[in-house]
Amino acid sequence: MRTKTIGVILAAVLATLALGSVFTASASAAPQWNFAGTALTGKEDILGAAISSSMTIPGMTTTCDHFLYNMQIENSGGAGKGKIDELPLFECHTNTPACTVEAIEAKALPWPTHLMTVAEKPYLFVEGIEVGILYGGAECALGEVEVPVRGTAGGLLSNETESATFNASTFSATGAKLKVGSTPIEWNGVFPTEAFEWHREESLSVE
Amino acid sequence: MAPGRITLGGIAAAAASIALAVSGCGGGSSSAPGTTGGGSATAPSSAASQPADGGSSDATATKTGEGSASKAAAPGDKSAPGRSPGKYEKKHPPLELPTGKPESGPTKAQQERVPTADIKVTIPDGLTTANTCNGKNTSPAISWQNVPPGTAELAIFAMSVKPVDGKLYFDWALAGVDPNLSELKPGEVPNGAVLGRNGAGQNGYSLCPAGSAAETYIFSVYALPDSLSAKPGFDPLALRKQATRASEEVGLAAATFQG
Repeated sequence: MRTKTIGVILAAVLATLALGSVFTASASAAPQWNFAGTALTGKEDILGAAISSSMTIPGMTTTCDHFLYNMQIENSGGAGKGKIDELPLFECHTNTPACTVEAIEAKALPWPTHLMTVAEKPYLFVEGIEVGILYGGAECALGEVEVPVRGTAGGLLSNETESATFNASTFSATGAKLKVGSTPIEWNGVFPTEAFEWHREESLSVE
Repeated sequence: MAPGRITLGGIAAAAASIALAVSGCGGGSSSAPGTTGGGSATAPSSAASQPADGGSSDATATKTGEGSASKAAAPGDKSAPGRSPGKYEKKHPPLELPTGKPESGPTKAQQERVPTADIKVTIPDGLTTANTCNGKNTSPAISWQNVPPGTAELAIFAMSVKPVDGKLYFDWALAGVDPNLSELKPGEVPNGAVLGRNGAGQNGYSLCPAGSAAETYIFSVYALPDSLSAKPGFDPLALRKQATRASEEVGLAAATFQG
């Protein structure tokens, strides 16, 4: 009986400690950028490079065979922040034979970014996104109009693969929205990421 | 960087950096991060606040060197500040960087030729069976905002995203719409507006999805600075071309019908 009571008390203490750690984690500040396990001081440039990233307007998907971003990152006020200052897109095309991509460019750069935690997972949140797309093709329903894609994007960061993943579920988790007018746009892409300035060839993590 | 212009400063530096890591040229030879060792490609707009060598900046020369940016991880320069000792093992496949030129924005001629989709168009109730030829075949409710001042009339088109028999298929075309309106109720043809000939050969609206698969339609609203004086039964393809040339702003909304 006494042993059982001690066991119950011990279990309660352990449960309390476990809950405490959970609450501590939940209440922790926004994640920070780390290199080789140490919080970044100063600024660093990182490159995200996706193969075959796509944006889907309902009914039509525009894919860029290579989709890069250059982001300057820093930890400021205990939180990871940054800005995307370049976003070159390569070899873009649609899945509709009638529509070609005549022109596409990122506008209104730089786009501010910050790290956030949702359900204990780290996300990269991008604001102020604007991509202008001009579709061509005499039989293209979206042709001959410059189509602006505007809004925000949220991507899940993985320390295991040093990559950022953008898809419908990461947008949903972060509340991010990309639109053409009032029409939602879906953005899919996995961006392996590397530093190339002061922390080149150091492991990048978000904690 | 000027808004709207993509430069390859930072990307170029990255490409050069990564390429050198692959080739081994960067291993212990460069004096600072971001330098290329050979000085053939570096530069760095975004790295302006960091030490960098005086190598020339040539974006076209730095499209990842020969394109095969990195095929294997290689130790880089560990002498630079902030570097940690030990070999870094990449946790993802090598970055694959493109070899060609990036896509560009619209040329000046294109900008002058095409309108921008800045009018906000909404199909508030989406598309239902009532909006198809399996139901009442009435046009859906549609609303719009941000029509520029000075607009003489609006033209509205509904088109299937997928061409039919290789042709752009118009389900609905309406011209001469009062620019002071901001919405149309289901099936409404406002006073003064004229209907064009749809893909089914009728002067009116008709939306007939081919099967049970989801079909997406684009609804566009053109703000026209001058009236196009369209006549009933007008050719929507020709009028859309006219509208594209004449208007500076247009609105787009996609709506999907799931049969």
